[in-house]
Amino acid sequence: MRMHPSYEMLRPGKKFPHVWCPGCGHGIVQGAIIRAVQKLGWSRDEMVMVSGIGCSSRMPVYVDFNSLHTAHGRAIAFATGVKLHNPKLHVIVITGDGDALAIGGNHFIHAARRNADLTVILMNNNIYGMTGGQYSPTTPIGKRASTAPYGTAERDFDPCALAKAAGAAFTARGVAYNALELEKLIETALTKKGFSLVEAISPCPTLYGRLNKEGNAVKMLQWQKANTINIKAAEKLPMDQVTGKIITGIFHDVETVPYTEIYDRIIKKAQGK
Amino acid sequence: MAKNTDVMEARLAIEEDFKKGYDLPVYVYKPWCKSCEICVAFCPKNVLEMGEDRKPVVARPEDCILCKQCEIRCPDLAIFVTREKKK
Repeated sequence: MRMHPSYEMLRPGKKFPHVWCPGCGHGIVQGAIIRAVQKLGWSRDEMVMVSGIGCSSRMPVYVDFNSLHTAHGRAIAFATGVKLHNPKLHVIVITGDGDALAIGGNHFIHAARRNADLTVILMNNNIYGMTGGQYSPTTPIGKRASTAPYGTAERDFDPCALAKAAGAAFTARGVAYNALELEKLIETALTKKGFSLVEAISPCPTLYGRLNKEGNAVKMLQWQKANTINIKAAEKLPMDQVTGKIITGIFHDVETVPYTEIYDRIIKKAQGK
Repeated sequence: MAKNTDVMEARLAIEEDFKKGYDLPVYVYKPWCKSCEICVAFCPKNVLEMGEDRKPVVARPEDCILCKQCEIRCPDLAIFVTREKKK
């Protein structure tokens, strides 16, 4: 008989079920990350999972990699340090939309500018889930949150465009509904040299779904299914059919020299070698 | 309220069920299930149904095509396919 393949990567001694609400997309993204690492055949000892604060940032508690649970928004800064100290490690940063783009916005753009060799999985649920549903930098304009009862007046960030503009080597977006595509994107991002970002759109049925009357977890995933277009298909469609939809796939993919290699060269130069 | 378990306890309980002759294509580890119904809604062959305890039941095992759609979408890693597809 076949056992659940992901169980090998879960932290022994940690009680499950995990802290996320019923139907939360973060669990689906966690599964996709585990499967991507297993597919690459990397051992748990060469992986490091770094996270900040938030719903998504609970993940390193459950996955049995080397892990670092750091201050709010600063996960990318800690991860850059880990990678510089031991470039052989594969460093994954688990972060949420508020953690990466609001509290840690500066760390995010400057890690992309430096081209730090990290894989950032940004789990975007469009809201601050853990603290009670305040609107976040990715809450779409007009959508409700507990701090915007009549809808937010602010425009939202596009994290992939932001990272590309700041100098990232790889940016991609996937949705929790299409977990297999997400798994492939994460796998590609993990093997990529330089700053790679995968934005995983993850439904928050408890807060975002309830405040915006989008229904339960199943309805939110069905909405994702109906409103997601792959970038290759979107390029062929007229603009009015693409507006308001989630575009998935790889947006930006270039070969670069990562920060760790440039830093090594500087160390050698300083040593007179 | 079901008792929370760690992954070792889960594996032992599942292996125990397998030894007792569990022979359905899909296994639901109920202590981890949060009744979100994602597996029931996205099964392409309508194999699963919600039981009286609000946990999925393998109602039509003969229809299962081992596609693992339930396994990859379960946020709680509580459901999985027990056989590999024959090649």
